[in-house]
Amino acid sequence: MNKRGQIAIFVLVAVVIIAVFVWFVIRPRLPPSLGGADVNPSAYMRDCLRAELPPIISKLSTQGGSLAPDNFMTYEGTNVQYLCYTSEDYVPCTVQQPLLTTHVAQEIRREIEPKARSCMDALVARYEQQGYSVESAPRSINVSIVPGSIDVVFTAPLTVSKENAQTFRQFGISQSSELYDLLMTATSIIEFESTLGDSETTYYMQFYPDLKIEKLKKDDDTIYTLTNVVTDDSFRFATRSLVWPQGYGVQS
Amino acid sequence: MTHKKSIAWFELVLLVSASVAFSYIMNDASQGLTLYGNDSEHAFIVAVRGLFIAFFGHNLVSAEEVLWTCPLDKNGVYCQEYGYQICDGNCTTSCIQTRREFTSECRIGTCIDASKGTCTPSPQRNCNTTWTETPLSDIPACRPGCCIVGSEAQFMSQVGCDAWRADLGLEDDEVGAIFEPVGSELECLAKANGQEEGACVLGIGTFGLRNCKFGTKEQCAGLSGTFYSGFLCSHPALNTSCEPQATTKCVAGNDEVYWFDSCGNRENIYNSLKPISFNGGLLLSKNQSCDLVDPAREPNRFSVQQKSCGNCNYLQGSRCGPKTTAEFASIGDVVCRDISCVDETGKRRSHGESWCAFDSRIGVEDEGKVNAQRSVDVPGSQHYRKTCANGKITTETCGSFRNQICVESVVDVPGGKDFSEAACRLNQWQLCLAANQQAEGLDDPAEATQAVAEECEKHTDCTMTSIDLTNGRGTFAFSTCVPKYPPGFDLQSSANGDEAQALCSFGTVQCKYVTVKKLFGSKKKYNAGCVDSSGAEAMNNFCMSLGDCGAHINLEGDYSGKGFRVSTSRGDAPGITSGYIAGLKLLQNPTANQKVEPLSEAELVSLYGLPSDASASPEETQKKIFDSMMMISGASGILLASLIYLAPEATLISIGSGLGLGTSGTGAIITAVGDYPVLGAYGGAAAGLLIGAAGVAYILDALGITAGLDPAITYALIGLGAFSGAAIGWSLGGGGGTLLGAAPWVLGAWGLVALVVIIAIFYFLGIGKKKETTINFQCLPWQPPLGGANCNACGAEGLLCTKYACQSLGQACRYVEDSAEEQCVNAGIDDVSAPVIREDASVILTNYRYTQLSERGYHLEGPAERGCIPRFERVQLGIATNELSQCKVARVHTESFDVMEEYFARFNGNENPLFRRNHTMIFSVPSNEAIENEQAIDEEFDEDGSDEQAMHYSNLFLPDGSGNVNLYVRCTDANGNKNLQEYAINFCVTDEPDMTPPVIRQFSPASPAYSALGATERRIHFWLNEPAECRWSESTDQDYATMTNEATCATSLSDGTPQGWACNATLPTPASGVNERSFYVRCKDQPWINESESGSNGTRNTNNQGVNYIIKPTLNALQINSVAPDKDTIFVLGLPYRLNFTVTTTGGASGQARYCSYKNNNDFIRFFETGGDTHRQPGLTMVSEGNYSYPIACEDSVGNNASSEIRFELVVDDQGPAITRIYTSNNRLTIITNEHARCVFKTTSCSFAFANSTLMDGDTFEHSTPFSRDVNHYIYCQDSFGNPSGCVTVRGGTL
Repeated sequence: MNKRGQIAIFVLVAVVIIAVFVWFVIRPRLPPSLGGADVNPSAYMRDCLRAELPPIISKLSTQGGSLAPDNFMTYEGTNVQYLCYTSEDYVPCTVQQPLLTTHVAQEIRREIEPKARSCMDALVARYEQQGYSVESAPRSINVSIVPGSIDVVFTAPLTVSKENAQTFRQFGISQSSELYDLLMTATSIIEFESTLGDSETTYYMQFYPDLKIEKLKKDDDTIYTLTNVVTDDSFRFATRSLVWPQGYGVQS
Repeated sequence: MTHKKSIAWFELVLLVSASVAFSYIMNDASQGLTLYGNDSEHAFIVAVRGLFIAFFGHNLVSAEEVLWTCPLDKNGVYCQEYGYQICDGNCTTSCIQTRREFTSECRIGTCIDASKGTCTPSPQRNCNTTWTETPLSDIPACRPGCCIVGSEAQFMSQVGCDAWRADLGLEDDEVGAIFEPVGSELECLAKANGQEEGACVLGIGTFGLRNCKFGTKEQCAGLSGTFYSGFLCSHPALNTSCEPQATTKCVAGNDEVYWFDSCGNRENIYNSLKPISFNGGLLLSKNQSCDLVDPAREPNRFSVQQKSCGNCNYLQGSRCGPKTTAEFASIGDVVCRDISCVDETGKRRSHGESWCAFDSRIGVEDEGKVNAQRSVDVPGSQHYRKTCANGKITTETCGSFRNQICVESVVDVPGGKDFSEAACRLNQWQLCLAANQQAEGLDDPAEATQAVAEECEKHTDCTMTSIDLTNGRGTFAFSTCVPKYPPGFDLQSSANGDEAQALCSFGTVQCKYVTVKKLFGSKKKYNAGCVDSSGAEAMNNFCMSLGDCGAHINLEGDYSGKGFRVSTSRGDAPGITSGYIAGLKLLQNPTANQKVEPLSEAELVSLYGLPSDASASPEETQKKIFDSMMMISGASGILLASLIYLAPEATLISIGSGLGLGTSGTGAIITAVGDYPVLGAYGGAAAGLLIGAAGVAYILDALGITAGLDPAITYALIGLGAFSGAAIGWSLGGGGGTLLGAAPWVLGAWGLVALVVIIAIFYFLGIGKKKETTINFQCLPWQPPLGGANCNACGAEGLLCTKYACQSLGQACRYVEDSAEEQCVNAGIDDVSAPVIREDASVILTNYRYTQLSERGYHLEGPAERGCIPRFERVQLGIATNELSQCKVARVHTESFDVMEEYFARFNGNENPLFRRNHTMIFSVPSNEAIENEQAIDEEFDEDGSDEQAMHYSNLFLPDGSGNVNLYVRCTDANGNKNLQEYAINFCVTDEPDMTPPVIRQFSPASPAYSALGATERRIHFWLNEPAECRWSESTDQDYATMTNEATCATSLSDGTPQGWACNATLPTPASGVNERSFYVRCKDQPWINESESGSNGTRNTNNQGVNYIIKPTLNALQINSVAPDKDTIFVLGLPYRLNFTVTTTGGASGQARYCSYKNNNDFIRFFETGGDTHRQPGLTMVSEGNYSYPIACEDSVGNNASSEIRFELVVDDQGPAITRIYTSNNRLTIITNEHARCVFKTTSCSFAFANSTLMDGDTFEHSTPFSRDVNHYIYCQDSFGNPSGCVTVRGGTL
């Protein structure tokens, strides 16, 4: 092979290498493809749902744990749910959401369930398009907020068969989050608000260096913003408790 | 940071329970606005109270109101209480017709979520898990203890501990093995630190080297490794694959920077001197590791040392974290980070430190200086708390309106460093006004002032301020208790503005400047300081100490004088000077080191409910009921105190009277002369001397001449009278001889003639005549300046911008909350239109109507002839504007809004400068005769061309010669757009002579009134529509002339109050066995007419029918039937403990409210729920064991009272029962415990749960069960709080 041939081969190899490299770099982010029976349905569900969770958590965190606050005050353009509230003056508030962690988990479940079902339907459709026989049982979704993470478990028994049958029972995703700790702290603050009408936040921060608590009194309301300074996870809620109106307290 | 439920429990309670304690006090105070009669009060108090009834009665916050419970309201709120009238309207369902505590679904209990490990106070309906009505603090499983799992320990509840174990997948352990009661979090954490750590060698790995994991012995056992205590995995002797000191990292839960070996195992604390840190492969404790200096103390050295040492000290302000560009690390990416802060003054603050910040000067200026002292917190200002956490400073407000104030204390921490802690605490300003209540019932001014001062001194947030405008002569001097940190108001709320108006009005007082004609020289002047600028400034100082009242500046130093107005009944009003205003502007900036004083020990004792034997405060015998009238009567104490000093004419009269003798005394002397003639001439001379002196003094006084004479002349005239009397008396007594060449009686007669001539001359010269000028100091709510040019200054200086601060910067400033970035903006920047004025038909009274309506004004037509307004009848008219505006009125045409002086909104003279849409004016027009009387005084007094000016009553409208009154109105909006054109209101006043007798508008208390058991008299008040004199008779209605009992009435035009002209009388009460006593009151108007004079200018009108008033007796004494708690000893599981008091009463005056109070420290505090026969005080917080004593005082509204006491010992029972004896008898195993308990047993081991065991018989001290000697019995007991005993083993065959 002459020199020109060698150069041509080298150029060809270089072009191939560059093309492969470029393809890896700029390839379109396609939705997960089944690509055949060897595709992992768990991975498909994870990829399908993963992007859904953060905005839900973010919304809940800024709105006092409710996606659509019904009893709220508006702060910086956002409706923040009262977790402890009294319409009266001079008395401590009544806890509105004693099962805060469970409530937040239910809110996540309510929001993510339609998307999870949609993902599952898409998964089934893709299998069926490829000639698989698919059997699915009733589905349920469970969200649990635990220390360090938020776990979403989608129980959807699925049997895929063509030549061989394969059964999947659960698909789960886990989002790293300090929300559990923040909710526990919020629960503690609410307890003090409901019994004593106020809370002292400095001690929390002294004992737990990763925790920052911002407490803002606005007229009759108090807005708490709890933040994990390491992860930047946060949770904001409002209370109205032991209100001291101006002057004699004649209601307007 | 897994569970954070129970942090700093005790400290927290201490810190905030003050708020709770005061919530009840304040609730009482607000209840106080539901008003009822009180005999001992001054008429003015009743008048002020009437204002509240009229304006606010429908809006009161009151625990006595009938409250129903709404399970879920229309705002989505659970279990709220509303007044029964509005409850259904607010509720998504029908309201439950009782209080929340009596409903099953809304009663507050405890919601226990075992899966999450939380216990939360909650209504049952909000709880979908386990709910119990037992308060959280009484549930053992919810009280904090130490939960130990492996090497970790957490201070949490049993419920939380169980959830934690479940999260970790642990099985139930034996009773008490992993959850232990401890006293504090630190004690708990110490239990976690006792775990033994070391290298866990796991076996052969790559290249024949062994694997290793660093951890606890317990963990190593789980991995089936070999544990080398105190060894690092990289110890050479262990022959592991782990190379030492490969990298540095932070460790979760620890503060320090650690070395990590190549296997990822933690090693010793980082030290750049590796051999020292490696320590030969052995563990090195924190104390043995390198020293890192305190960054707050030596920041420069710290920045050097953080490169070489990783022994961070959290308490000293450093902690492991990723390094930033400002930090240095020689190895790795983590470093001991400086988590201290630098505050606004450049001072270093440690992590966790908090301090106070202010945006203006605070507290009291010129304390103790008469007229100069003032409380200076600026409208719009608040107190702030700043906190340093993790290197960042956060700022929080202590709440708007200065209802909370920031206190700060500095403690020394190890190392000689100051550490400041700040907290927002309640501003107890209400107590200052209440302290003035002590003046009530004390007639002696000095005594009243002393009583108020003593009470005032008890309260840290209060100070005594003194005003003296007498200039050496007069009586306008008083001292009152005012707040050191005056409260703020919602500055732009017209609704709450009425409330602000009411509070500020306690600083509205009238001074009577009196001038008296003298024989020689200039007139005598009393209370001359009232007509001087310094007097106005002193009164403004007083006014601004009450709240956001008076002339003051805002946070930007902009002055607004609309909150203070001075007017006089005659002449120009004094104003405040530019120098004074310049002084106010200095208050804009805070001074260094200004601070709020901490509460005193006595106050803390009172707030925290410490046991009586722990109180170091002195015993007070003075009874002070914090009754429902606290606010009104307390504040009116100011008025009362003022009024005592505000009656110069009364003082003058008493001086004159003091110089004379009573007629009965004189008569006695004369009789003595007749009965004992042996006294003869000497006796006659003595009697004549006395009669002469007394007679002259009496005549001078009766003619009012005394006040205008110098004392020397007065004494000379009295001396002449005495001489003349003595001379005549000598002669009448038979004395003879001559005096100055004449018979004594001749000289006496000439002396008398001379006296008559002199006195007649004085009388006709008008000597002693006095003229009163009323100076009305009006204390009004402070008003922000017009416009909004400075709105954007809100939140400057690094402090937060709040709605309250924003509002203070300008009338047009609006706090915008619905944007992502809340801000204070100028809402009126595009508004260039003045308010549009029209009539307000909603306020017009029956028989009145607006006519001739146009955009320029209207005519008010009344019910009198020609459509005029009757005299002395309350009239009401109003205007409405199309935007919030402030309106002024003038009686003549003026050039512009700015030169007009009087505000339109007024209530019989009390003006209101608030911005509002509806502006109402209430007034009455005096009769021609009343006006003529006042004018006659003016003319007579001013005939010498003195400096006084024409009559000008600021609170009365005087018609012109045609009987017309014209009012000209202009308004301005918040942006300063003012009407150029006047809006005219016109009406005519009837010119018919006053032929109508006076009308009694109102009695207090209303008839029938009740008298207290054993009381002999009852004081009543009533108000007339015009000045008049009144009398009363008993049983039968008589003519006015034959009535012999007189009431005391206000008779001057300027004495009018919003209620009318006040009278009071003291009536006898029914004797025992008499059902009631009936009285009749009649009045006679125009008291200035002397009917005995010939040619008197009018006829007085008298009631032809008396008004009946009935007093009934109290038949049954007020009694306290029961008090609860009534146990000698109360056992509680832990502290703090919340306790409820209940008292039941019977008897008292029929149909009258009965109120009970408990004495805490030195103050009687009214029960939260009281007024009927069951009185409840919930939630008293006890923070320590000991003997408690709470005297109980009950009183009804007529003065019947009863007393009792709640006394108990509080004992904490946090120990399980002790088993003191075990024996068998009749094949039964019996155990004895030292307290009431329940006991269970098993025959297998001590490892069992109470619920899954066999219960022994008996739940008191003795417990038994059938006994078999073939098995062992493992027994333990629990007391009623669930405190467990230790496990006791009874082995088979041993007993």
